[in-house]
Amino acid sequence: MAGALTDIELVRGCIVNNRMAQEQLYKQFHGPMASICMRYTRNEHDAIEVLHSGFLKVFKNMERFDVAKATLYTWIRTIMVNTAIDFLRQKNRWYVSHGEMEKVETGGVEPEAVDRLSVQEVLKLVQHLPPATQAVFNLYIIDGYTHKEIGNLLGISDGTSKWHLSEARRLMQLYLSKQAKVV
Amino acid sequence: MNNLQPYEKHLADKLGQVPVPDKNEGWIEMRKLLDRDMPEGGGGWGGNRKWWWMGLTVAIIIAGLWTSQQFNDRQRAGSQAGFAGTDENVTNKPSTPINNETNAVANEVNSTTDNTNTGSNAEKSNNTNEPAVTKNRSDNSNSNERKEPGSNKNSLTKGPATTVSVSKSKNNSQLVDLNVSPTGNGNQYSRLVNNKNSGNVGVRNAGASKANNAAILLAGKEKNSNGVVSDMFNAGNNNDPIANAQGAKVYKSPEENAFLSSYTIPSGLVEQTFENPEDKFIDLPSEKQPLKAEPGKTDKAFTKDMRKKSIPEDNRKMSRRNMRGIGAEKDRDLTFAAGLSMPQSFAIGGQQSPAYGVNAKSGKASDYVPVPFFQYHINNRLFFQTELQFQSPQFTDRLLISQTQHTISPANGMLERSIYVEKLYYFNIPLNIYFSPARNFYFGSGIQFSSLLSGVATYQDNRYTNGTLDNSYSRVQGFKDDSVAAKLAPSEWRYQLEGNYYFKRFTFGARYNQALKQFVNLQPSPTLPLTQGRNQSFLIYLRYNIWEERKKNMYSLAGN
Repeated sequence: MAGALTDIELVRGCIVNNRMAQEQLYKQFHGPMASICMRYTRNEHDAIEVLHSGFLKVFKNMERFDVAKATLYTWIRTIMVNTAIDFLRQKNRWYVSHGEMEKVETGGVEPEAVDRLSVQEVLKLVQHLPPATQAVFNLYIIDGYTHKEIGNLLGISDGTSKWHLSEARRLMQLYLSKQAKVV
Repeated sequence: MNNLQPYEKHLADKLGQVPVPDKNEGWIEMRKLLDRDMPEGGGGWGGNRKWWWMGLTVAIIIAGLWTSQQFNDRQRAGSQAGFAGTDENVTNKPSTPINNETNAVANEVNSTTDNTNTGSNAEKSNNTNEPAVTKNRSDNSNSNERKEPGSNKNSLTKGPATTVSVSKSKNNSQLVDLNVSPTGNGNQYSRLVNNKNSGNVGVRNAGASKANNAAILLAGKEKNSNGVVSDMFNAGNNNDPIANAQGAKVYKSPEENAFLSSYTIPSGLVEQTFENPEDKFIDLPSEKQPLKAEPGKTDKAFTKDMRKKSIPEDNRKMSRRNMRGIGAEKDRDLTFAAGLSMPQSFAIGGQQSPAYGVNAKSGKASDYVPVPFFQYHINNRLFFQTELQFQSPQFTDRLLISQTQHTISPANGMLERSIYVEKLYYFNIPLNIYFSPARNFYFGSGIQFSSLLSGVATYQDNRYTNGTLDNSYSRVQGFKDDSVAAKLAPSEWRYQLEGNYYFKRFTFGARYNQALKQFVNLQPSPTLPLTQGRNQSFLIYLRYNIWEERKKNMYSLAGN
């Protein structure tokens, strides 16, 4: 209840363009939103650019926030993901139609292989995926979007989304297998 | 839920712990972006929209001023045209067969005993028995020349000729100096005819109308009713200068007009004229004495004398209603007004309307303090107004402005004291400009200075024992010039919009205003979020003009 009150007060302050409220909201959601941006982009510079662009959208459209439809975190996260997708779309021409691609079956990877990697290494692993594949991987694996939602969001078919996911898994397993052999 | 492989869950967990850039540095960058794209100034009316609204208001005011200026110009032109039209319409009626064609108004009519025309302007008269009219055509320029008696042939001389001289004043009106020298047998008929292109005759229309009034001076018994000021012939029943000067308004009798229109002087009329017009002239009372052109007297002084003499006589000829014009003109003439207003405020948005008055007393009678106002009308479409709202209620959200916590020993308890703002009272001085897009309807906009007087707050005490609420107590109390009032902005400026219906002395309207800044922007306690609030109000009102002042004009002088 106290959290909801906080969100409402923050929203009110941001609606009236109050800097203190904006600062509080920014700092409150900076961590998770910056994490999202890091995952969707290829470096920290791009991540900050996406992050600030997303927060700017949040502040400008704060009066559209409806507490009955979603929590403030969910709403901001959605804006941030969309901003990241737009950013990738502008920087990478990866929306050339891939047609209906088939799912590639991949083998399994031991979870311990992941545990042996540091957070930075995992992040690098994700950031080295091809842009479209990286986006699908993030949307499906981390953020929990379905292929249909991903298709609508990225403007691709479900099959293409599945192909990108398979490709992401293949590349991940390949990398993780190499790491396992090294170890 | 998507089907994830076991290692992917680990990946997701790991990615949730991604180190992120420093948020303080990020905020510095973010703030730069905000300052660039969203300058501070508040939302709602603030931000970029504030300037949009202000720009719109300025545009409306400029358009209003321009429109009112255009309206005034048309009104002025219409007024002049109205004079001209009236004069023209009526003066044409009594126009004699003498064709008026020039600005020359001096007509010399000599009728001798044998009724032969001795004038030179006989070409305009088909009747040889008609009095000859000699037009001493004066140039149409403003010569400002007034013939002095004896200075020329228009002067008062004992000669066979009857001379009417008309000189023109600066403003193109003509002053009549009709000098008629009766012949020995007194058979004199003089007609003074102004055509419509000449200057006005007399005083009333001097300088006010471009049209010309016809004035006919008939030296004789009944024919002299429309006579003009004459030094010698003032023997008519209605022979007063204003009657002649008004021209159009003098000819009230259709019979007379018809007579004048078709008038030709019969030869037998010679015997009906008075023998010695000077006798009648002498008998007139002093105020009826026609004005004479005096040597050394300027046109301005002459005109002034004429005006003085004309005022009482004008009253006699015209009703006050006619002199003051129609009701709409009366409304237009309003310049200053003052009165009282009865406002009724309403809670809008999330505002609450507690049933407390000032100092938290029950009853809301204190919310209805009459508001004196003062208006200055530029014209009938534009006016300014200011008010003195000595004690205006301001509804607010229920805002938490203070919360303190005190530990109560030894029972491991805690006392939490919270203060909520319920209602505020302000002293307001609004200044608005109003523009009327349609008759009686006005839209206004302006600013308002508001100074906080007092307020009503709820003081709530909650007692907690071991983290659970076991007692709560609240009271409503007024505050003024204390620590609670110090938490609120002592004054603020508001922008307001208004619409009203202005009928005679009554005005009914509605007003909305919003503060340009927040009246509260604080953190009630370190653990609580910011409390922010911006005043806005909506009220309806009924105003009554107790005192009004209207423009003084030439006609109103006559009525006083």
